[in-house]
Amino acid sequence: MAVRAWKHRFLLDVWAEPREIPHLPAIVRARVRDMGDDTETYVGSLAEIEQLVETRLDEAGIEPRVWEREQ
Amino acid sequence: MGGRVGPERLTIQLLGTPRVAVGARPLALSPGASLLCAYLALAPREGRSRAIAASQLFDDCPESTARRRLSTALWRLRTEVRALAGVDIVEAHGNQSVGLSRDAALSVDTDEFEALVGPVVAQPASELSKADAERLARAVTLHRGQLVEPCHDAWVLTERQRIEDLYLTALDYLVQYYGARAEAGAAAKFGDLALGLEPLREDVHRHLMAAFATAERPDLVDAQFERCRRVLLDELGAEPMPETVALYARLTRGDRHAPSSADALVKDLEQARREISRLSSIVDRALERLGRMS
Repeated sequence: MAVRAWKHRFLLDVWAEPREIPHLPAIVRARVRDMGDDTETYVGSLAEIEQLVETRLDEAGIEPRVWEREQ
Repeated sequence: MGGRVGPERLTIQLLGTPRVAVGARPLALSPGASLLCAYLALAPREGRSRAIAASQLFDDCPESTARRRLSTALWRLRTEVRALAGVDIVEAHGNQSVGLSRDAALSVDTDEFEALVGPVVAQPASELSKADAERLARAVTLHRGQLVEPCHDAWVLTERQRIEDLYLTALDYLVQYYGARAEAGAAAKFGDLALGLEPLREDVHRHLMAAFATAERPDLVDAQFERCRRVLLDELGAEPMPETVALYARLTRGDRHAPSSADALVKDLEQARREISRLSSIVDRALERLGRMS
């Protein structure tokens, strides 16, 4: 019987793009590496990171589900 | 597997796939021994607690099993290196901690890399000397890949990130150094290495555009801006930042003066818009004339 993965691992790099002009707000970007299939996705918001995690959990068939603090 | 050699200096390569060599001759260590050697090479010189080492290297096992597996792995590493190089590489400090032998003649590529890069990038890029640039270029050749590249365990990630930051900074400094000297080929070589790792870093794209402009290669400025625009669109669905667009517009009209405020940036972009409108009108009129002729 195949062992079902119970843990999903992501590497998250978050950085602020260096700006030429002082005082302009930093532009934050991120890269999410899904260690399950070794794919990388660039994102520009926290919502996109959340979406990537939720998609992975959907694909793993973890339904229904609720996050600990959203119960 | 090679035969035993005399007790010479061991070189440990941690950048890329870990490797141990005597001079130029690699030792055919098992993958587990190579990885453990890399782990110990990254540990403090006084060694690492056995309990911590066991939990980091064998985090999928109960503590007693992890400690047993660590002992076996240490024995294997010690035995393999002793057989191939005649060197006792592992040093145990009682039953508490373990590390690489402080008596063995060892050199580690990350130590050399950091010694080359660290002092140079502590100064502004604009102040680099020729000797500084040569040190950075030498460091770049040592970077054969990410730190202990095949491993993604937590123990390597922090140190890997620190080394990658140094590497990217070194590359960006080299882009700026050679760019200021109109050496487009060298700037492009180091810029490509940087963007190979971090394709979205717009400051590197900008430094390359400026380098190509200094070298009077407007074709390469265009190509670099397009590459930046394309990768942002493909990977992030975003446009380049205003300063990147403004720099491109300035370089296109032969002005390399950098804006020092948001107001100057707005002025730059408005000027670019006026130029595009003017060009658009010219193109429209040309098309109209062509239409009348056909």
